[in-house]
Amino acid sequence: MSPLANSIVEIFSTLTLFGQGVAVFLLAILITKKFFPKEKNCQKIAKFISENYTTGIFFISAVATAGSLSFSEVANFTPCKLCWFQRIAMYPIGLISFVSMIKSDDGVKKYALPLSLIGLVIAGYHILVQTFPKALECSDEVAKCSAKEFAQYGYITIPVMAFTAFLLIALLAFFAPKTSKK
Amino acid sequence: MTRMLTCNIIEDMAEGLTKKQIKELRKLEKLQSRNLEQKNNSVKWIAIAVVSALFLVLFVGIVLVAKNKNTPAANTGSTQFADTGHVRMITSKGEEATASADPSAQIVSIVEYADLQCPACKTYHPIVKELLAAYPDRVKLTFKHYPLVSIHPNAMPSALAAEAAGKQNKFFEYIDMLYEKQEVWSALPNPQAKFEEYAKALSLDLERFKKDQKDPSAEKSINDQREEGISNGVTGTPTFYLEGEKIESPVGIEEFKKLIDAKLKTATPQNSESTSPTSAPDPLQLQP
Repeated sequence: MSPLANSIVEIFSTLTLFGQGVAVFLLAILITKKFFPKEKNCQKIAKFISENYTTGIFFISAVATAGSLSFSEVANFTPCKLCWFQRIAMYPIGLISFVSMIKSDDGVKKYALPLSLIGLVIAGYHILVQTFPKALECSDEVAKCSAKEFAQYGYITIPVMAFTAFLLIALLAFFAPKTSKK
Repeated sequence: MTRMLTCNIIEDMAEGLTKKQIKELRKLEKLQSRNLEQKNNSVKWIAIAVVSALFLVLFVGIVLVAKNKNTPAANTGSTQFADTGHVRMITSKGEEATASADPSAQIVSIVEYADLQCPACKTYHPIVKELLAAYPDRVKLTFKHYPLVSIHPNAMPSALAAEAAGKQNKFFEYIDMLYEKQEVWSALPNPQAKFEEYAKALSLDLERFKKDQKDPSAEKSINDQREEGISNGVTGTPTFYLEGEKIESPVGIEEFKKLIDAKLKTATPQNSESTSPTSAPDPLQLQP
């Protein structure tokens, strides 16, 4: 791996690790909000997230898009079939959430949630393919889905990154203000 | 949402108001919603700024990588061809040959990495053959195996069969046949009967053919050619190298001819001088 590719991997692995922390935090907030609705600090945080959830979704999907493009275009990892399916789910979220952020439309949840759940399933399957390469083989001469380009910290591979991003987007979608439902 | 509601209210009340009053109301309403939005704006702008910076870096990265790829050093330094594969030329009489009949002719070399089970290779096969006929004694094709073993289960057996036919000097006749009947044998779980049928049709010695098919050295040679292709940057089949330089597969024979004509033009026209018998050069040295 070239030093450039190495540093790209390191940057996005660190972001993924951070993202996983944020995901746990969001989940905790969601649960607290649900079962302890009188907790004031939690409500405050939830309100802030709710007000900015479109921006959050935009930010995560844009970073994921930049990450996937820098892996394929700068680090020269050839995207495999499953990677392409995940891209199909991820790239539109970035574009749609960008437009709704600019238009101050709170309704991005309607599109981001199904797209992120579809992506989540594909990323999960891809992680399985990499963990048990023989049981679920998906092969192509140029880019094998089961091949790990890298495994930072022992477990962060490209589908793990995608899984984290999709999870964050799905979690954020649950913070969507209720008024957006007509 | 709130904005739309107020808008409706304005419209409901609009009947009793003048146009000017309505306009003012709208302005007021707009200002209010802007104030509401301003709170969220700082977060929004931070996100936009960070993401724009990220994409700017990405764009610079892509440009830099593209520049690196185009440097000629990267191109010429990486391709190396061992003396393997099968050579095909067509003489001015339209006959098959392995070397030029005219030692003074300038020869353009094409190296093709191909998979006999690959439908794209089948499409290119007659084009290349036509090309060889269009430049008799001038274009030399070196056919190299690049079996895509993981997606084409019959790629390796067909390559071995072709090699076995090659032992009886019928390599290209055999692959002509294989490409022509690709739909027949490529989906078969065991194509051996078909391979033998084609060998019979070309009146090959069947016993020898069957024995040569199991030759481990042929398999090693095929794998070596594939390895060589990988290190030369082959990612799919067919991949063509013109005078050692990887080219995008031309869309048709006319495009192919243009590329070859360009190569013929750039070469020094020393052919006319080499007619004197004393300086009759070794044909190998003439190859650029």
